[in-house]
Amino acid sequence: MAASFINNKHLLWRAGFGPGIEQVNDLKNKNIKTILKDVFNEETFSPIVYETPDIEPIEYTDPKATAEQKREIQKINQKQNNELNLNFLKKMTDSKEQLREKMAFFWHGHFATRINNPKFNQQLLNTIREKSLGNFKDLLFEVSRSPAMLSFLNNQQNKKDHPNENFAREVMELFTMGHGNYTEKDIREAARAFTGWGYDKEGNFNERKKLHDTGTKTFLGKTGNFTGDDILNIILEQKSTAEFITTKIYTFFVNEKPDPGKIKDLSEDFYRSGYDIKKLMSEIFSSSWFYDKKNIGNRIKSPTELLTGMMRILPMNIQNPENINIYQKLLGQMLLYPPNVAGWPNGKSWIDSSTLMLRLQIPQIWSGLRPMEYSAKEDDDMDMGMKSREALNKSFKNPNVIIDWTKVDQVLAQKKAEDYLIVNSESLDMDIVNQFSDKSIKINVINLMSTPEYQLM
Amino acid sequence: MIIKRREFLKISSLATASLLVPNFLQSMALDNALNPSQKILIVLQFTGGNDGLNTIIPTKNDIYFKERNTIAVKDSLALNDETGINPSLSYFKELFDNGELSLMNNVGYPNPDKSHFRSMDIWHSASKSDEFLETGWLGRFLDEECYKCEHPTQALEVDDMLSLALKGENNKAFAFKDPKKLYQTSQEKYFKSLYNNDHHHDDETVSYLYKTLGSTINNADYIFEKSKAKKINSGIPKF
Repeated sequence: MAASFINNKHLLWRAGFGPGIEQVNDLKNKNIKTILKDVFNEETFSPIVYETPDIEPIEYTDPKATAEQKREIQKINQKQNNELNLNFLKKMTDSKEQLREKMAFFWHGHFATRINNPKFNQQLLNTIREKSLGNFKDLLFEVSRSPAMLSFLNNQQNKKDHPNENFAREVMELFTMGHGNYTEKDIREAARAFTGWGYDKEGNFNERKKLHDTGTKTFLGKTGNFTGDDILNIILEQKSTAEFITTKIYTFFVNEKPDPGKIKDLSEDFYRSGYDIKKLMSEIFSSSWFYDKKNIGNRIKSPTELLTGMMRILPMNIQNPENINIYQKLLGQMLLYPPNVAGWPNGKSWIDSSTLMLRLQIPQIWSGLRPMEYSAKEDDDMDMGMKSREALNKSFKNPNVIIDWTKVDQVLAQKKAEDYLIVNSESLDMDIVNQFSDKSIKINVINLMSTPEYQLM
Repeated sequence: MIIKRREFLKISSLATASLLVPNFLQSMALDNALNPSQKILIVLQFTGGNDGLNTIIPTKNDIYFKERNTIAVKDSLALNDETGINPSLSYFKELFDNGELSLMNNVGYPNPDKSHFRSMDIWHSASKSDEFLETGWLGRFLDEECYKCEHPTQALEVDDMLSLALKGENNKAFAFKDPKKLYQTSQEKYFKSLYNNDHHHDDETVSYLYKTLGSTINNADYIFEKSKAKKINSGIPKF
């Protein structure tokens, strides 16, 4: 296989969500520089919104709200959040701005929040999508001021005489410098500087100066009566911030095993550029080492990458897309619902006997050749009070996927499907695959996607 | 779920409890597999909230009765001088009196953020309240003890998907709900052939995937064999 073919595949999987059905011929015909240009494509920004209309705003915690009103609010919230989730998934699948969305997916796991308010979720999601290839400084400021983050990390409760350190701690530990580059005292002082930072019901950032501790703080060796903005600026002055972010980006986009030498070079450039994300990604994807054999086909697809990859390469109509989230749940990655502020773990953590078997069966399930027999873990709290039949029915609603096999036949005719579907099929025993595939492209494609090798990108 | 919390809490004897256990587990002939003197740990994970203060009541605490004046449990069954158990849990009181039940009361973590998910994570991972672990306490036990496990089934979870508690760094327990269905899937010729014809993989990640596939196939086989109906000889009437 020509070097450019495999490099094109590698780039499309890492800088995006895999080749789309319309890109199949590009893999052979297009030059890497052209593909590179394609993935960096940015058009006028279009936000993701939820469709279900908001109802009369009532604070969930309002003592006057009746139990029924609360249930209604919860139901609407769930619906709206699910719509955001699906629309994000749709963007990843359909967008011609593949790197922008892939980068947004990365930031979504990096600046992880888990809250119920759909308005706040929508705002944060669009912030990271719009700024995903911009400047990390801007991104950090906007995320830190977002009601989603401030609420999730309890900064609304961070007030002058009752400081709450949670926000300051996570900003430093998880979002910027990483462990070991600051002290507990730094956290306390930073928390003081962030006092007052909050938001109103509409989701507007509000500095609430009356609640702000205006005293002198000493942070990372500097002294002054710092505000939250000052703290963020000081954090950005630290080279450790550039290193931490670069390392995370390297391990997500290049190789789980960090290469300290390359990361050092990249992070110095990143720092010098003033935290230009686009430049950093361009440097990575244009470097020859990015295309080293050891970096190709060695990353276990996250559930999101697995699902979108399939949806991109197989032309399909999903009649009930709102039910795709059952796969997200079973495979362990529901967008907007990271397990905690550290985001999602990677690599082998995605794989255990249950998740592997389900991954191997999805192509057959979506082709209608096999029923879906897994149920997600139930939450007794949520099911209690539901009639048992309701609870049973709730456990699986079919997304009703209809794949256009005619189109697949056309596009893959006369081609070795394994070359196009799998990044590195060297380890795959094609004799076995062929043994189980009749002469049809459809069965061959399904079998290829039902292999351990298909789990890799 | 296998057992609803409310059902379990209402049990009145071990016999009724045994009715809640899936048949295949009851009939599993594991006696040959394990050293007879070895103990088996069964973990029942109740997922969901619980009002601890009304489960184990601080009978001598005025604040409790004052602050909960409409919902305080006044007729709790005494466990000791200062604590009582909710009267609906009379069977558990019996067990306690017989020295067969221990309680760890008032378990929590500093500055709780009241997130259900955070609490569950800490519970499953046994992490400190300021750390985030990707492995669980039972999973880490498997990592320590299981590097040369003879049986593929040191730890099992009865559910379709594996809980964090049983995920180790290198070793993970095996989750399934129905041994027959699991067996049927694992025996499918395609997956079996892929695994059987697997050559040695240089790449570590590919190896890991095939190893997981292999252990799934082997475990499913082993479990299905062991779970084939074997009547329990306990004399307890089954209805």
